[in-house]
Amino acid sequence: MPRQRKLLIALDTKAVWIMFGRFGTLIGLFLLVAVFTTLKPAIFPTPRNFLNILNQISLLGICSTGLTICLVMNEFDLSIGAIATLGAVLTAGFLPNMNPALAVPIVLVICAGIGLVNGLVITTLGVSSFMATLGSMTILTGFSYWYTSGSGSILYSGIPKGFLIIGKGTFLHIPYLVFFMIGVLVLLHLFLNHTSTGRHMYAVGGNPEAARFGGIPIRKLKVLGFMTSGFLAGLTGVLLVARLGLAEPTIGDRFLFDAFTAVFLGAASIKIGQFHIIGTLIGVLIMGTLFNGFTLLDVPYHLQLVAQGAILIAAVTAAGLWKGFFRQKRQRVD
Amino acid sequence: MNPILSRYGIIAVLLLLFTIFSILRPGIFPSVGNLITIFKQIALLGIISTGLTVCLILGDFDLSIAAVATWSGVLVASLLPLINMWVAIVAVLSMAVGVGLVNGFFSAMVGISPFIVTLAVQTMLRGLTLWYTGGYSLYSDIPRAFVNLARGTFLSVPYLVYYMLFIFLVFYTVINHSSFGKKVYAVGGNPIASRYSGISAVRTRLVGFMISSVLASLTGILLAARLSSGQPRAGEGLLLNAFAAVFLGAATFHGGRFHVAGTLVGVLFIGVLNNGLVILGIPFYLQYVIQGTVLVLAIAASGVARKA
Amino acid sequence: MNKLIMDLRGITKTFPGTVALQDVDFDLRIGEIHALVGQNGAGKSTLVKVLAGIYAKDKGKIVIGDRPIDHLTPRKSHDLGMRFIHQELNLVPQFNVAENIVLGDPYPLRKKIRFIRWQALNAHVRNLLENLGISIDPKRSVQELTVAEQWMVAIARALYSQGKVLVMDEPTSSLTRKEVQELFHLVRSLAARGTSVIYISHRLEEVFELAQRITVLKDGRKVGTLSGADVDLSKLVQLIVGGKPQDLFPAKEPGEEERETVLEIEGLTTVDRRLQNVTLSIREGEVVGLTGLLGAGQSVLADILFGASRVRFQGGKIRVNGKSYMPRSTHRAITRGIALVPEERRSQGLVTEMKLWENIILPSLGQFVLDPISRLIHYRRSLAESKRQMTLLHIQATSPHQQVRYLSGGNQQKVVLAKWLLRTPRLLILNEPTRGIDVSTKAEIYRLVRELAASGNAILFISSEVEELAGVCNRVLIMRKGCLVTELEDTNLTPSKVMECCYEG
Repeated sequence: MPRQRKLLIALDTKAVWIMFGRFGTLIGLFLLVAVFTTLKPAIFPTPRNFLNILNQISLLGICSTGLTICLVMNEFDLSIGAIATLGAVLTAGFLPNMNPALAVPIVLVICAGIGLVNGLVITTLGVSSFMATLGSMTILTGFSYWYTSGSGSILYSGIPKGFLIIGKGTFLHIPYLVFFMIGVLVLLHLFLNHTSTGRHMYAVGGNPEAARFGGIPIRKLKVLGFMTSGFLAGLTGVLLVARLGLAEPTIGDRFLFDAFTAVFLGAASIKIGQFHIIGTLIGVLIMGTLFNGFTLLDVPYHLQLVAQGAILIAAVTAAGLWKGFFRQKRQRVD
Repeated sequence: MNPILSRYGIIAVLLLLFTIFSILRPGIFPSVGNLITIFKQIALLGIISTGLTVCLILGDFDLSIAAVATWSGVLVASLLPLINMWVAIVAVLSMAVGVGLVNGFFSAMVGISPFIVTLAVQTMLRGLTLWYTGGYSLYSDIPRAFVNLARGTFLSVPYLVYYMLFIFLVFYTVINHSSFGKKVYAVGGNPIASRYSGISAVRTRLVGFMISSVLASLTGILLAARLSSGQPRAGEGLLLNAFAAVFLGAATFHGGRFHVAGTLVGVLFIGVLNNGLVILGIPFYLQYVIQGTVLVLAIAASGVARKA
Repeated sequence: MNKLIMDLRGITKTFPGTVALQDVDFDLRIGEIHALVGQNGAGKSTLVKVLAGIYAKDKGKIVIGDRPIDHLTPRKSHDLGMRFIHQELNLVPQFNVAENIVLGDPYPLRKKIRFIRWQALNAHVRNLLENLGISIDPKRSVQELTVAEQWMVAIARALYSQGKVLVMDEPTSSLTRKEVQELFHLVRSLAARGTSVIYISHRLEEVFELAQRITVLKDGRKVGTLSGADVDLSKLVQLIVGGKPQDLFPAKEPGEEERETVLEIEGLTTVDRRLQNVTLSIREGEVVGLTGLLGAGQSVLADILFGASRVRFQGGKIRVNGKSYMPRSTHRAITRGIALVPEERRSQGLVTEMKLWENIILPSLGQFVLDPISRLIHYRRSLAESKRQMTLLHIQATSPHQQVRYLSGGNQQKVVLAKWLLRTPRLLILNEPTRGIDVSTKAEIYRLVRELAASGNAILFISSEVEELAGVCNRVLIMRKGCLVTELEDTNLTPSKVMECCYEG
């Protein structure tokens, strides 16, 4: 059709702009790396530092992956921070008296169970995910405070050394935590993109009516999504204890906003408008690089926050503009 | 879903709570003094929630309100030693208008999801606040007159309560009974049809964000006045409570639609619940648990608040 | 084949306050294309929902295949081979064609680890598409497809999942004539292969072309089933409307000579070439029709005139009442006296959650305030005006306080009209004003248009229904690929001539 061809040609002259929009976040990531390399050439671009970055973001990566699954289905999970905190606090509380091989699974089951409750409240009681997870976040925060009030709010005693090795040990110089993160990312990527259940989740998010007519069990999938999110948030908490050797009732808080930032950065990458694991990885990498670079440059944490916000807006703006172009091109010519 | 339950469910639960607390602490809870205290405690929440309501009616999110409040409190506290109190207040409120413009520009003009925009702005403001204060509270040279704005009373009722009621009244009237209000509901209901009726969705949403930011800023200023210092962590808790109040409000009367009167009910709900739990001497962590549970149950019981 | 795939007898369905279906019989043969027609509210969608298992019948028998069905659920309906495709299409935008076709059915999986075998999937889908004669690449994202192509994907999905009965609801509203023919070709080949089709449409000419039998519903009852030689337009209209066939189109009064020119467009060309060198003018009292194939530029012109489009001009002038006019926003267009009744009334014309009176005063809020400072709504004036419009246009609603989403399509369209007539616009642009509306409301709208013209309004009537163009307009302009190619009036203005001109060249 001549009209579409003409528009395509018009678009080609904006090709650079388009590329920027679609791969903007990746380009941004590379820019960040380039800038930091220039500013700290001796320290930044070393394998050791890159591993450091990966290590620092490993927990955020795990948490964000769980959130990605919920967002794929258009559901918000605001309780991930609180679940991570709970996971950490329970782990630190159980470990002094229990074998880690028993304590950790119990904690994970509990966290998955919380996700289950979230999912059930949302799907059967008809409460929006925003409110339901807001509520569970409040409840869990209260619980975490209650649980830690016994020992002056920070739990740190009695954690077996062996457990701490998970958090700080390495294999071939790569920290175990990084392996965890990569494992989770790979598993969930395969799940979302190559299994029926995963694709059905995308269908639920993409067009719930179509999913319903196709006989897809929407409720079950959403509950599964929240359980996964809860499980991974719990895992984040467990690993937090492994890394830091302690737990206190605000330990998981920052994961909430950070995870959302990472996942939304991801939705602005490559497959624009869609939440996807690879995008989340990019988002997490951007945040980690930023954090790492700024720390090396002695930039105060507070200004990092400012930069984080600015990057998020820039990335999403670029993505939004790209989508606008694409939509114009595709629009019925009338 | 039982229509009567949907319409009045939240109010019923509110009255129920009131009754329960009155029974458990008959001398203390239902007294005039305590009622005034409840209103005083929710006054600031009421102001900030009203602004948020306008945003939510328009279909937007404003996650930056708490950060704006905190930043406003800190900023005004730092300006007060230097300039006239009223000039400082106006300056800070103007800054808030700017924040609202930024939120509105990216959300309404560029077209990014307001969730992200306000999330990003919120992150930036938090960073700015912490950097500006170095983590410390700003409490020097706060004029008496300023503190009095928040702590003064008239006829035994704190000024704060009057402010809140005034703002509620004004916005209730404007949103429900003025042409601007009709535009707000129109744009919130169907932005495209609104445009085809000559209403600029962009402009209306922009104003919505500005209202939200300004009221959040006002809240922060009054909070600083009440605390007689600008504290870098002052606004925490406002965000969640404000959303809770507005959503509770949406579950009242009109089933699922945001509106100002409902927000008042929501704010009262939270106030009564908090106050009652404190009077009962329930430790704060347990308060959280109860608040969260009651919130979810209340919304579930009225069968609404679907699809936030 | 004459064997029945489906037999419904005596179906009755009531809701509190209304009887939606009363003793309706309907049967469908294997490989048959059976049309279901009737006005809005006649019961078509209720019947479809009963078939889909969404509503449970109160009385009657349903037999599908050879089995009598007691409680039909959506799952059961699906299992029995019923497939429903309607306006919303229900495709997942993130998926490509292949995944959409397979939606709801199991993906082909590997034996050991349950991963999807993408190659197998694509091959299966490609096979199906070739069999059906659809040439769309399975790997394309559905967001890139045209509406017609999306319908084909939806149909392919129905087939892939072993659909035996296809229920299609208004498939052709947004399609060009060519696309409609392609669609019909597909539907016929489906029927030839044994799939049965229930075809619901307001487009009576298409129904004649496609269907072997036509069942007419009116007020919840079946009033007749026509087939073969019985099929005849006036008979059909008679059944649908009931009673004597009314003349749909009122008499056209001859235009007077001394009327002022309301709209003048000279050489309008847009940067993206969707309009090229468009020149036209409309005088008071004229109903000027505008038509063309989809994409020819009619809707673009309407949106541009109304200021609802952001497209930039490369050249040309527009004058309204002699004064130069640069359309920048809908607000400006409205203050210049231009009004537009848009194509999609639910998504563009009305705020459906708002009440009737609120929708009516929405473009004119400034006129309904107590004072310019407080801008509080003047309720008495608003309600009085709304009631006046309701009476003038015969809008059927419980009161001005009813939410417009509860009104029927025809009444909703009248509300959209009312809100503009309130402003006595100089130029009223109507874009597909009778789409999806029942016959009697259509007649009312035609009468209204002619009355407005008689009282001096200028009307631009955009439509793709050639009969109404010929019946209502003084003259009709035809567009092709952004250019105005022909103007038809007087004896030249016939439905067939209009149609021809759309296609020529």
